[in-house]
Amino acid sequence: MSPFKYADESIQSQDIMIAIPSVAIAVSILDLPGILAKSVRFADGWIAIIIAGILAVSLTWFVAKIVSKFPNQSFLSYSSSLLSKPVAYLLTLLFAIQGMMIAAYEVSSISIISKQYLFDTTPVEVIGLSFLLIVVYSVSGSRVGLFRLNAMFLPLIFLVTGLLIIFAIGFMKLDNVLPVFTTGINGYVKGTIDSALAYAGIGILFFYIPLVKDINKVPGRAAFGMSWVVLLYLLIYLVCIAVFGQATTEVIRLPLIELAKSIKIPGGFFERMESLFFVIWITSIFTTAMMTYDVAVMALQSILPKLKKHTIVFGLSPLIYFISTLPNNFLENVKFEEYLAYTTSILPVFVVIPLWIMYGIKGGKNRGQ
Amino acid sequence: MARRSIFNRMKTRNKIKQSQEQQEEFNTSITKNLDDNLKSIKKMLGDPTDLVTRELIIGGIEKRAAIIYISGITDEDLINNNILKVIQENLMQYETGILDKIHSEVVAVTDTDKSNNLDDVSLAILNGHTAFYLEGYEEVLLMGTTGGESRSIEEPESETLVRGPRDGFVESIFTNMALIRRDIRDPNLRFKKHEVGKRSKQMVVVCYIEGITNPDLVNEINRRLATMDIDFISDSSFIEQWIEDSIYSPFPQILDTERPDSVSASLIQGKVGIIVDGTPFALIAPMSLSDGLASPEDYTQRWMSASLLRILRFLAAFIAVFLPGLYVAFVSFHPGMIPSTLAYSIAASREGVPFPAAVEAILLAITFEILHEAGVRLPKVIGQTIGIVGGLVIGEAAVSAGIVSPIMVIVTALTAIAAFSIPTYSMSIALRTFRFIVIIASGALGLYGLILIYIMMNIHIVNLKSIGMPYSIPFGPLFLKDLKDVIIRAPFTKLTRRPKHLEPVDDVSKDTSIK
Amino acid sequence: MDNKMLPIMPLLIFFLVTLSGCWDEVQIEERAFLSAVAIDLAEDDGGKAILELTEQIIVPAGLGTITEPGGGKAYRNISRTGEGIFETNRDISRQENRKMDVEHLDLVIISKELAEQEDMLANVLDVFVRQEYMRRGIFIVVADNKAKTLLNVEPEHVKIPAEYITEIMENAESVATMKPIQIGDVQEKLLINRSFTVPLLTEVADNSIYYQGIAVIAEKPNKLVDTLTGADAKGRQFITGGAQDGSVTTEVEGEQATFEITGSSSDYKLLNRDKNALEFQVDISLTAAIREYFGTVDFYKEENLKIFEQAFEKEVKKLSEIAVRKMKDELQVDVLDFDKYLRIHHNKLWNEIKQDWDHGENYFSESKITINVKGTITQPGTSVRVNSRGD
Repeated sequence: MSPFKYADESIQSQDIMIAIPSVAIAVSILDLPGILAKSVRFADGWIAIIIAGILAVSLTWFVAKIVSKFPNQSFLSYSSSLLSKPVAYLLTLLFAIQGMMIAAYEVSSISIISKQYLFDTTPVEVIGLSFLLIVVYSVSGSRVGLFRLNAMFLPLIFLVTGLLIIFAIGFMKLDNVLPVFTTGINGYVKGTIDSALAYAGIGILFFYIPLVKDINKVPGRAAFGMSWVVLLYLLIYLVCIAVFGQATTEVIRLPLIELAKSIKIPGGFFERMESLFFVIWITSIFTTAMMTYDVAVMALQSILPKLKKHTIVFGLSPLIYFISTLPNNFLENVKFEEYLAYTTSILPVFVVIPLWIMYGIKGGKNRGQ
Repeated sequence: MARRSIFNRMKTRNKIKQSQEQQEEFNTSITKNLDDNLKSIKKMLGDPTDLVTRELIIGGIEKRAAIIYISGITDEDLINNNILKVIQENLMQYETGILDKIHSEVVAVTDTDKSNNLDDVSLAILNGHTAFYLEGYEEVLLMGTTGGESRSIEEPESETLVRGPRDGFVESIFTNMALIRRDIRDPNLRFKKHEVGKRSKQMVVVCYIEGITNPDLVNEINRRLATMDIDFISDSSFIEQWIEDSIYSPFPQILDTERPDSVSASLIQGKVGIIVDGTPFALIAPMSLSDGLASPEDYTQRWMSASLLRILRFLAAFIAVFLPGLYVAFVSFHPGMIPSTLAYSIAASREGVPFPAAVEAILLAITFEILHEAGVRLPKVIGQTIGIVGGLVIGEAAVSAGIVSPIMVIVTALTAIAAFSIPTYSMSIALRTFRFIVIIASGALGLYGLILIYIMMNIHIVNLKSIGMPYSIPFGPLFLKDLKDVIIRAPFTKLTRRPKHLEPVDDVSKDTSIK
Repeated sequence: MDNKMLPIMPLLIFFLVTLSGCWDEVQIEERAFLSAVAIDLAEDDGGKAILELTEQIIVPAGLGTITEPGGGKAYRNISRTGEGIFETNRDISRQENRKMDVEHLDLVIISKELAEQEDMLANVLDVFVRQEYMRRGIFIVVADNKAKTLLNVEPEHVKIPAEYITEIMENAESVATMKPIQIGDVQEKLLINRSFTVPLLTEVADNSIYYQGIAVIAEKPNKLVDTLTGADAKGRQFITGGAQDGSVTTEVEGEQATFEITGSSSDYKLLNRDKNALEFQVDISLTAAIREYFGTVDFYKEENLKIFEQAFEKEVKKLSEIAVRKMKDELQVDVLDFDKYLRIHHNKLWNEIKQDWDHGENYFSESKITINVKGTITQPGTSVRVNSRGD
């Protein structure tokens, strides 16, 4: 039908490279510096970010490597060939639930944060619903479309955050960053765990990599994509500490928004940039919600192959909306986040280790070519 | 049903012919056999429909001869009177050395030449020369007959340039084809004829360059054209809307242009042109969103200024869609974002305006659209009065009557100017439509609504295709190397590769080895 | 319904949902922009302090535009008394027909009387930090007398008093003044339990405000302990390296000379580690230009320039030592940035002593501070002398 090779439903390795940061960067971009500043002293959090980053990048690589050995197979089929059928079904279901949960969490955070920074009387339900509807609209489109959306929004996120950092240079105080290496070991461990939780989204690789055409390039590129996230987190953290100092960063809930609040853009065309920055960061939260929603749809599709994609997409949306309305306030939302962060970080680890072991045992016999 | 079967037959025939063409090698030198020669030249030029072959038998010696030329770019009076006629009248007397004698004595054309090489012959024919073949000779006589009739070619009205070619397409398809041929003298330039219109039987020509354009693309366009089932097409827009990928989109998915240079430049890049008889608007497919924001002017100005202009146009497109929405969001939801002094003066100027900013913005935008529509429909002479009326109504009376605030007038005017600076008219209309949606969303949810609409537009664009090519190309899927001729226009020395997203057969646009 | 139309469904619902109500839409002309807040102590009845809150609200029509200057006042001040800021603010809104909007608030004035109450400053500032609509760049000022009188000072050329006050602070060119302090900075100081300084303003006429000096807010007890003016304030600015603008006047061989500071920096050194008797050395380096000179010495000669430099250094050292005496011995409050120096460069030592730095044990008051000044005259002025008196 389509004359162009790239126009069909298959994706390229560079799409995965872009999708990884698009999924990983979500609400954590806004609150990571504050969480980190609680456990480490001064600017020492950069060590925690880098250690956690290295872990995340290597996990990405390991996941991508094992999955890339099974081109054109769904997660269900290659995991059942390695781990037996019931386990595979269970894992697929877990990923589906996790995808839904993350999507619901993003919707809920969007509504709570927007309510705080942008709205006064608009009901939280309306804010969340309008966001979810746009997510549903995107997921009900073509799957490659999602990757194209990532490619269009990710540069925007990096550009805007980069601009913010540049404008913030004038407000940085070196005194806030010094001294270095004053944190104890415990602080680093706590900080590493905290920042490791910010590198979520590796789970999508189990589902998307089999769709990739030039699958051999995927592991390297996926890991490379994850390293952008490390860099971005690192910069944001250092800038927040340099501008606010550790003590203030610690008590600010969303330091990046406060940062946007403090800077002044030369020329004075806009004052109070935080609303503008925040709505642009909404796109990054949107891409996360969209990709995880789609993973949930994919997982369910493989379990229930008879259902049409649109049926699943529209069927899931009330459920996700319902879950998203459960956290009523900021504190419950944070609890939700913590719970999710642990599961999203742990699930890929617990899936990838048995996969590698079984792959090692079964070896080339079951190679799914 | 009957028509479909004819088309199907045509299609299969074409397929067979094409495959034969690809298999057969043609002879690049001239042989003594006239039929072989004629076959070779036709093969080389792809047997275009405008190639005229006149075979004749010379009376005295009973020898077969042929005159070949391309109609439309030749002066056919000259061919008839000074070549055909004189040869037929004079050729009774000669027996040997006949070709030399014709060359030196008979033909009444000043520019004549002889050649025994098919490349020279085809080039000469493409330049508007007439070739004279005589059986038994390994040489061809080439006579300069460049010319041809056409309605006077005028500057295109819908796309004017400060610098660049001044010719535009006319209603005659042969003139239009000739205009493209004049730009691209490549033997691989192909014109593929279709007949469209159940009753009108209009000629539609798909042009492309074989060896550059992705053959799948050409086949797909040919396939879609073959499905056309309509009585009459008054303009190429009928074809555009018939063969486009999505009818649920305000965006134009096939580019229209009045400029032969635009078509030629696109063909060279590996796109396909569609020329329709009876309209000066040719189509270029596939197109992407960024093609709608590019102008031929980008290539005639120096690369730095051209690049700045491109960026300016992206900005203008953004303003045309989002500025009124942004203003509404700022004024009704986020006054803190406006610098204090400006906020106070906006507040002072809005004092007494009865409507919310969103209603005010929609009112003014509709007024502007009506004025614009009236200005387009009226004859040029009266059209100017619309400007005066509009200026008075919007600029003065509405403000002093307290219906709208002066700043809203500035915002609407700025949006209008931005929309006009978009080179493709159909794109400009599409963006202006989105402006209303943006105003409504910002009026309801402020900046949050605006960003959701922005995301929604992006979703729509990435799901849109133009003849199978994603509309959002080269941003998503990302073609990093193609961006140098999209966001900016790199210097020509750096643009040595054709756009990769068009998957051209031959992607080097400049042979760097030959200096 | 065919498959292609299906995705449009969510969009239709989207528009239905958004159009059903425009909850937060408040037109810009229906907002009452707050430009400044003044907080006074209404009465102190022993137990709870009663605050008097004065808010300055912009009247946009009074501002007019560039082509049509508006008539009448461009602001209105409303005062109410109450126990908390937020509550009182809501009380004030009962007098205002428009929706209160704090997004353009950029000045908070606190009366000296109020700041002298323990913990009061931190309490009243809390609301400004907590509310997400507030900027972090709100200026904090202490008023020498009643805070609300400052909001009534209406100079001839500025229509809004709040604007006048912020501009005074941004454009102060005197050594005895400090860079404006913003609410974000105050929050940081309060969080890390440090003493800090706030500009001190006073009303001198119906249409004029004077930047008087610097108010010192101690960490413990958390209140305004004293105000610095003249030599104290100047000395503090020299020691902290913050004296960017302003001038110093001294006598050179019996004649008065004025130096304008063009650059200033300071460098701290800790000479020992004995926390009960810390020894600091502060190296102040300044560049200055001669702006006024009543004498006849030819300062284009190098040996004469040295004399000027020495006189300048001596004066700066004198001022700095006055400030040290005042802070260290009299107030025993460190607003000279020694705490910052220790925190950054001697973090271990700092962790030991930070609880008792300028209160309790008060290691600060027991430390010894020596000051060295290096002055460089960069521009002697354009002419050698104006008169030749005495020749």
